[in-house]
Amino acid sequence: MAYEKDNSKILSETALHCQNNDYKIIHGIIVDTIEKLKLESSTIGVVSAGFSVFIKEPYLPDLSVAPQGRAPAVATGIKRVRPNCVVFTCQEDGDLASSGLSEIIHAANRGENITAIFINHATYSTADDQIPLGESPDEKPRLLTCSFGAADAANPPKIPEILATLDKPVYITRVALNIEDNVEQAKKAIYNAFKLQSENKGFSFVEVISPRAANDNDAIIEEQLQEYHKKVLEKFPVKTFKDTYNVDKP
Amino acid sequence: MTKVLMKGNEAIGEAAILAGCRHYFGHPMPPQSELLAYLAKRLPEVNGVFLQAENETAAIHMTYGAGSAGARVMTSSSSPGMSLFQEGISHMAGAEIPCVIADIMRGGPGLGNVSAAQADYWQAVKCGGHGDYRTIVFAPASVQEMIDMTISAFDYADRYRNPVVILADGVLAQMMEPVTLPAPTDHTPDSKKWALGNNFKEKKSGNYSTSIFKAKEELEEHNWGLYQKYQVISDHFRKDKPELTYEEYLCEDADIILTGYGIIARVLQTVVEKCRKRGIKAGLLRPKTLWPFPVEAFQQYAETASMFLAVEMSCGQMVEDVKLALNGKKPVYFFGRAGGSVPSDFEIFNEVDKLAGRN
Repeated sequence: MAYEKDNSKILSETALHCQNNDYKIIHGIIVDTIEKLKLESSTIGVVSAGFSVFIKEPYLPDLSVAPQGRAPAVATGIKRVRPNCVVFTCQEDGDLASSGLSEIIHAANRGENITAIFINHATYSTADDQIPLGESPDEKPRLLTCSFGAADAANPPKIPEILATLDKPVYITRVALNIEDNVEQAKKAIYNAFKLQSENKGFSFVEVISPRAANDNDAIIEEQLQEYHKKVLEKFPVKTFKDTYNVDKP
Repeated sequence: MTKVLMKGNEAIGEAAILAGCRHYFGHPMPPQSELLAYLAKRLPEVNGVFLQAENETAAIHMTYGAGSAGARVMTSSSSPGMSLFQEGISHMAGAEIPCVIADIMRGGPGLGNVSAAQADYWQAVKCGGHGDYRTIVFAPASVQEMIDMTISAFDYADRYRNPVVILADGVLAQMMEPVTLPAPTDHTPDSKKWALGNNFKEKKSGNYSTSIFKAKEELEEHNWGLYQKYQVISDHFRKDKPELTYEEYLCEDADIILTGYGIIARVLQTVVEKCRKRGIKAGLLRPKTLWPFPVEAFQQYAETASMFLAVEMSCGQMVEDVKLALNGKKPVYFFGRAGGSVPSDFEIFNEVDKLAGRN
């Protein structure tokens, strides 16, 4: 159902299913960006079911909850009706890089004037209380580990590297949130991506490397986080892959 | 109003424009591809958006997005593409997003062939996606009806915030007939307060479009709400607009009532006339909406006719709804051709003749 007002209850219900602290950081950056660019009256988000954690924010954008993998197509339809709105998507890796690989590639290939935020846990479609291939379930506080190398069937693809081969995208970057400098870079990247769209420059894409807790357990120890980032950032380096308008340059 | 000669596929496209549709997302697949070709040319002429999606899955979700944003939006395909649409149709029904979907049926299952068929009845009418939902299904039998029903489809999609299906076959889509085009109507996405991107400045919080209700109590409430809406739709057609749901021909004194939808109904009219000339009292009862199904029309003639014969370009799908409508009051027989074959008036007449001999 499309609600006209007061979605806070629904969003808070949905938020109960999100156990990743990085979401709060990412949502905070998105909301800050919208406010900085004064886009409060013109922003529409397309999110997955487990990601809608805009609760407690002073501002709620219009939101569509898209089926798994389909956010770039849904966003395309919205943007073609509302070209003066800024339309962004938020998807995790199981959503974007597994179920919806076709949709993200073709939206990028069309140069659709939308902004795609990709939360990459590098777990290859593992979500909620599922476990990566090759791991056994347990009750200990732990992260879902990056599953590449665990089996031939679980090798998370490098999405920005793939999208950077296309002609139309104007901004493709990967950021992380593990240290302060990287958080600052993430803020700049998301700001750049939204600004480019608001100037009708074309498709922008920001991948955010983000660990994910297994068993919905928040009690992840620092050692595990460091090990995760060391392993994941080696394969998925923080880097800007395409910057047609040189927005990353100081 | 001027009459023009139009192909069925093109008629659906022009009717969409006349209904105020300015957004189309689709993917070519015969025998509906002319619809894309027509709108690729026509929509830019009226400042509309034509987008050839990478596949049908993307097309239906672009349709979902455009409908969520308040547009009068259409997508179309032929049978295999309609299968790919089912995911999006379920989500749109759940989120109550209006849209119009044209399915130009071809032979199946699987790739089948590109010849005309009517084997998507179950998929369209019983709903091939998951969950408790319904879609209004129009079944045109002429190029003029393709226009009239497409325009009605947009009106009903908006009125009930629900996907509406135009279920036609490859013969209707490919043939040309003279048609009258009605006057165009305007539509603006800004007329829908619930739509995404609408009335930003008036709101304290955002509009929200979703089909997810994680608490089972909420989902049950939502599902019963949908069910009540479907009852309202059904009652509207039954009580207020029965003329939109069926057409009858020589049924009053008919002993045998033939029934079929789409192009088959045209053949059946010829068969009825042939029967009458041979002294067989046959009539034709043609469903124009497949959901809601014109149950009362069948029940009415259950009192007077001695039997019914359902004819389809399938191995028998609509016949099940005819049996449900009659609820055992009179025998229901079936004759069909499958795999892309259209039954001739001659072979249908022979079938009627045999049945008449049993009487």
